[in-house]
Amino acid sequence: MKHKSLLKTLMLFAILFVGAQAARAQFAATGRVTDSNGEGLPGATVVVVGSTLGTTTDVDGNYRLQIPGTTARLSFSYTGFKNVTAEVSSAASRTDITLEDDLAGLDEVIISGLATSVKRSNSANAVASISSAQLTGVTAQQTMEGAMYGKFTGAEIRSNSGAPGGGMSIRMRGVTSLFLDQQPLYIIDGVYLDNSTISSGTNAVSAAAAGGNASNQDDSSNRAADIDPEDIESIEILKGASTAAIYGSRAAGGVVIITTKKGKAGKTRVSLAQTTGFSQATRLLGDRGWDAAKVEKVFGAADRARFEKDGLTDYEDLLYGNTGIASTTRLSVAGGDDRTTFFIGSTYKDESGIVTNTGYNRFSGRINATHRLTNKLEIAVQNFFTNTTADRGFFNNSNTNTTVGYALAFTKPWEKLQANEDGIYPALNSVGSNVLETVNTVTNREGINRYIGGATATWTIQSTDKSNLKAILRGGLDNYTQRNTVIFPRQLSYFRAEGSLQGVAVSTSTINKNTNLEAFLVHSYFLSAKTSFRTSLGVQQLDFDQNQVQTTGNQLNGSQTSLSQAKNISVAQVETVSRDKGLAFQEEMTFNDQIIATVGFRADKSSNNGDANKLYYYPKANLAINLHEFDFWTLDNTVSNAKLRVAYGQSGRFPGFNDRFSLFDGAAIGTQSGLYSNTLLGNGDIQPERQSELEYGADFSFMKNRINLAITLYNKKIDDLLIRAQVPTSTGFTTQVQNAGALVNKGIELSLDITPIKTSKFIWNTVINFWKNTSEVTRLDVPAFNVGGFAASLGQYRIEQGKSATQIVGTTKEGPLKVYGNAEPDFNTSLINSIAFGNFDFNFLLHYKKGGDGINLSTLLYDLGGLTWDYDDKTLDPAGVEVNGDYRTNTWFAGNAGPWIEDTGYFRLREVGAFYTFPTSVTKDKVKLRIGVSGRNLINIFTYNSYDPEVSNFGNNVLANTVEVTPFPAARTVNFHVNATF
Amino acid sequence: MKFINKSLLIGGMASVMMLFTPACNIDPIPNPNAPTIGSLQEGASLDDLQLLTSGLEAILRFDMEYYYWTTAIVGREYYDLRGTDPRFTGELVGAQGAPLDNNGFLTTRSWATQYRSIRNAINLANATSKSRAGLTDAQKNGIIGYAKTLQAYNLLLILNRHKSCRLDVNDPLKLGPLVDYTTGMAGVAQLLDEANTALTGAGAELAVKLSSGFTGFNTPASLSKFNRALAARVALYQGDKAKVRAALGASFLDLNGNMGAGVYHIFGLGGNDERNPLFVVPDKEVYTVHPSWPADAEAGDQRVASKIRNFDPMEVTIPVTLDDLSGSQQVAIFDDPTALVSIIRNEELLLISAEANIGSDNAASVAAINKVRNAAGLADYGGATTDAALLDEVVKQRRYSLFGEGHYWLDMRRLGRLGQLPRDRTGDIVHEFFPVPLQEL
Repeated sequence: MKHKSLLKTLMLFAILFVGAQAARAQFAATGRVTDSNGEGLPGATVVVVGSTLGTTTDVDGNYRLQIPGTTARLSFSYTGFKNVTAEVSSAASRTDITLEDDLAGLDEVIISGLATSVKRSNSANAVASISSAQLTGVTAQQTMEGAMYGKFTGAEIRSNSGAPGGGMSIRMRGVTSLFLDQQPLYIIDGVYLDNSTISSGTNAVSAAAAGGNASNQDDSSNRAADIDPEDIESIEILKGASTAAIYGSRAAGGVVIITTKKGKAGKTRVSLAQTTGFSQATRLLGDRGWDAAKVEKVFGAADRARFEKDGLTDYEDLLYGNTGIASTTRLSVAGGDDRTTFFIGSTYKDESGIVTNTGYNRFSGRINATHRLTNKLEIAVQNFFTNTTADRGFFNNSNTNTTVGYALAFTKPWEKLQANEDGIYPALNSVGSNVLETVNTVTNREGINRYIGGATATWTIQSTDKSNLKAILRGGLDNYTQRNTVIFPRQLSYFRAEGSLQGVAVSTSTINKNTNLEAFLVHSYFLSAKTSFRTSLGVQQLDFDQNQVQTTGNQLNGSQTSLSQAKNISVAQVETVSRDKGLAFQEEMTFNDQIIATVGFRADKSSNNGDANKLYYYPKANLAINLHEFDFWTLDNTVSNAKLRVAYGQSGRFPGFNDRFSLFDGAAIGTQSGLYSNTLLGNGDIQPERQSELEYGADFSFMKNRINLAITLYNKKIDDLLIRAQVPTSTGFTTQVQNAGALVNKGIELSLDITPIKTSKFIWNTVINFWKNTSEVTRLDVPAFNVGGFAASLGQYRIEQGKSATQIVGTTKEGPLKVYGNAEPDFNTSLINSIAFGNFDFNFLLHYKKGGDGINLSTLLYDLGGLTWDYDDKTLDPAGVEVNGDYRTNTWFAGNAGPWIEDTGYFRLREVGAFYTFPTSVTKDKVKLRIGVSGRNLINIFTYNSYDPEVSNFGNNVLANTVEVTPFPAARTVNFHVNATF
Repeated sequence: MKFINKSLLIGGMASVMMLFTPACNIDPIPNPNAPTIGSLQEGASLDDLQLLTSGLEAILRFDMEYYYWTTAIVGREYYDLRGTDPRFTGELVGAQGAPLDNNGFLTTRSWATQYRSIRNAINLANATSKSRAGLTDAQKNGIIGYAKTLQAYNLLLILNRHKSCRLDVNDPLKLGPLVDYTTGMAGVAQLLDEANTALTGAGAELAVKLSSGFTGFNTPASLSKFNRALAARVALYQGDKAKVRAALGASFLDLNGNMGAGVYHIFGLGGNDERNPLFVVPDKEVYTVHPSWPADAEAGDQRVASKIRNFDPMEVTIPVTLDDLSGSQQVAIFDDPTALVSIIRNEELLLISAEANIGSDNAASVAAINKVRNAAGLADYGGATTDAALLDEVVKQRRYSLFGEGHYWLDMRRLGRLGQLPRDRTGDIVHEFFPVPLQEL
């Protein structure tokens, strides 16, 4: 009922401020906006402060704006330049403005609430942001998440495999949950984006997770991959509760806020871009260097005879040695007038993977439009449609030796696997499957049709020089259908025998619908240009509905692949439904631009909680002090900006959908069906996990903003951790999810942005990022337990009070478990360089991750098969006696898990790009033509003993996402670009 | 403009109100994928009760192999030489005096599944008493009697392996204390008596259908006979022969009846059904009979030939040996994956009756023994009819009649004869009981 009284206040508030406005005189303000070289800036934004009234400059930088009344304050802004405000009046209506480069991004506007933003120099939070140029300007990006690598501090971004179509995980500022999804919340233009990872159903054949159909070992992509990175204007990243509190119960993994491109008033601009790329495996591993004597020594005389008869076939090269080709065609059209702007973007992307019969295909389109109905009312809509198809191959773990990777680990290079003239592949019983047959006949396809759309109405209810009141209404829809098609035809060698599955087809249909409805009132009150108060109050309703039907059939008729031709069919349906309601309040106060303070809270209730109507409160508060704005500051010439900031906030994470239920399972006995209890004991008292984060730091700018330093420290505590606890089985149950622990992440983030050279011809900017996180489980109300991975003898994570949440333990010969490593990197650092010289520009991004351990079970499998590339090297045994393969296996057979736990640190040239823009004299001003060449992951240095240290057999499962089992190898790409803008 | 402003104001505010005022509360969303246990505890319909009844019978079979395997292996009836887990030839037969791990699956799986059955029996009894299916009290009594009989049966299985159990588990969030063996057995007996009282006041027909495993035992009166058969077994383990005889009198014991008459678990190969987990794929899953079992049998005992089989020398190397345990014959109690597994049958009741009559009516004891011997193709008992000799004979007949069904180890234990069980390797021991699972402590 608290809602109601707040709502009344809200309405009163609104009505009070809507004064009758008398009709006033009007005047036209005009002028020209230029850069420091006197060049006109086309498309710069000019708005009347405190209203939605505004326009953009034309091609030459000229503007003209009808303003009611006789005086007004205008604000001039242009991306990459510092904002300027100026007083205009009917008496002095022409105002020319010169904008200065905003080297440090201090005037860049960043998010400060659900419906508010603030310029960076006044923000008390370390909100990371990535612009369109940083995101996609250097090289072609396959997915949005892949485009974010190394470009901001505080995140651990990992690719799960090299399969086309994505599959990545992002972890913001350490482990934030033990058993639940830790991916950030994605919000695109206000729409809550679904980021599910839907398992394909290949487990029906791979049996990677025995006994169940759903498996997180299926190497599936996650749905954030559907967003077209080319559509994105900017990404803002809220890394923890101190910034994300206002998003409440869904924000514990951080929030990624995506804003897509908009049109600008002025001439319609058409842009056409073609990118053609080539990809190759980052690394191929090779073989043991076989000769007849070695074959006989390792495998015996029979193998030697076959080796001498058939010779060697490099199956690794045959499978992974292909060159993938990617073509991306992009067309965008943007324009508008002072009332209406539009942006249309469309991308067609077609790429083939480095493995035969894999690839990715996407057609997507976007229409964004903004229209001002009146001076008081603006409506903006965004529409995105995408159709994608990904053929992902068949990789990762298998308990039936059927995945390509798993079988390759045991396939001797003198085996003959090629099909005969009739197209029939020989069976390879000693391995379990024939890898050439698998890549050529098995289908594992994801197809997605997705619409994401949103509309926002901004109504200026009241506006004066001193204050304004806006109402913002927003609605959004994210709706997609994903169809997974898995076909293992009956002619597969391992399905030919009676008693085998004799062909498997799995079809999974997932329909997902998220909707959000929001309403906000934002009241701003200006005491002066530098002192203001802003009050926001808002309500939200979020609905989530996902319905998945997986049909698995086996014993296919002949060569048929349709489910209707399968003898045995089983169906599983899972529906996940929830509704949240939230209320948010926030007061932002700016005193003379010297002290900026915010207090606020969010109150949330959700059907995901044990008590759907219990309100959970998430407070926030922050404070920034701009030292350089105070009179005592005399260092303006050397230290132009100095800000101290501290921010605190809380956010939450819901329990799993089923955690509150004691459910029945379906059973059958004879001719009767029945119900018996599941082993999970529902917990009606289950609470969300609660995260509290304290973040503090300082920002400094030196030498007229040529050098900028940001330091941020944080302490993030997650309490009421949801743990799958064992219960006494005399209850009739085995597990119950309980709020039974706490963990703390502490970390540091540094960013140094330097512009060593800046002339009209030559600009060089370099950014050095550094970030580090450590975690500790501070409370555990249940006994310490192992989680993730397969077994202690193969390395597992262990949750233990007083220890890191990401420690990796394993068995020892002596008995007790030993800590062999930690998945958390020692630190990450990246170096971003942009150099513009005349018409040339050159950019590159280096990324170094120090440490962080993974569990490499590919090497184990190759060792067991006697085929490991480094089997005969002698680099591991400290005694220098045993060769690597023997050393690893013998150490393991003796009871030590150690050989499989490895450092996954790397140094990469993540992105590099060189572009040339043709001078307008050549193109006669009609066309802006740009050509370039770029690359991704062209240099990769690591000691990890497999294809790539960035890999996860268990997908996005954070406490298992450093386990490798024979994955789809990672690739590097070279791209050629031609862009033309008319 | 003013007009537009006002209508917009009203419209905007109305939308805000529509969105949020009436819907201040969120209706809890029921789970769309499966019914919750709570949803059937109040006001269940007859269909609901039928589902719970069949579900209870279905879950009795779940993980049942862990009970049968462990009791047979500890009792040296057979060995598991499949090599799937070193503990089957290690701690289970007490290698090097190894104790049983109180957190290992050999200890915990059986305990957990029996209590899961008990949970479902309690759910059924509760749902029945609070149902809104228009049932008469008598009809309710019938279902409650059935549920409690099976609850008692599962408690008995727990006490067959463990020295201690929890009797009161009605509320999973407030479990009763662990009690000792004697108290536990008294609790089982009492529960059976309560169930029988309910069944005797339950009219002529049961309101729910049971599976074909209960053919002949699907009315309150016949279920009561099944209940008393279990009560006789419990009284025998309690050492109260008078009580055994009384219970047998009300049971389905039939001196001239079929050995196999009784109550069974049934199996199926369909989707949610269970296969008989005790069925052994010949020559593939090497459950190897302890050599003493065929060796100690009388010549011509048909039970030997019907329950074990020679290995195929083309498939396996004979003798099958693992960790210095070996055997030359395999377990073949069940012919196929849908073969029935007995809960209790006339053959056992005859032998219970034979044992209970020793010391009071040895002639009756011999008569019952002979029924079992004759059925196995053996001649009448010709040995001494002293109490001690008859007891030896009953134990022997139980060993062959109930092979692999979890009895021999118990018989040897309750008669203080565990020391007579073979120990095939130096250092092996015979466990007396399984420990209480760690999670319970």
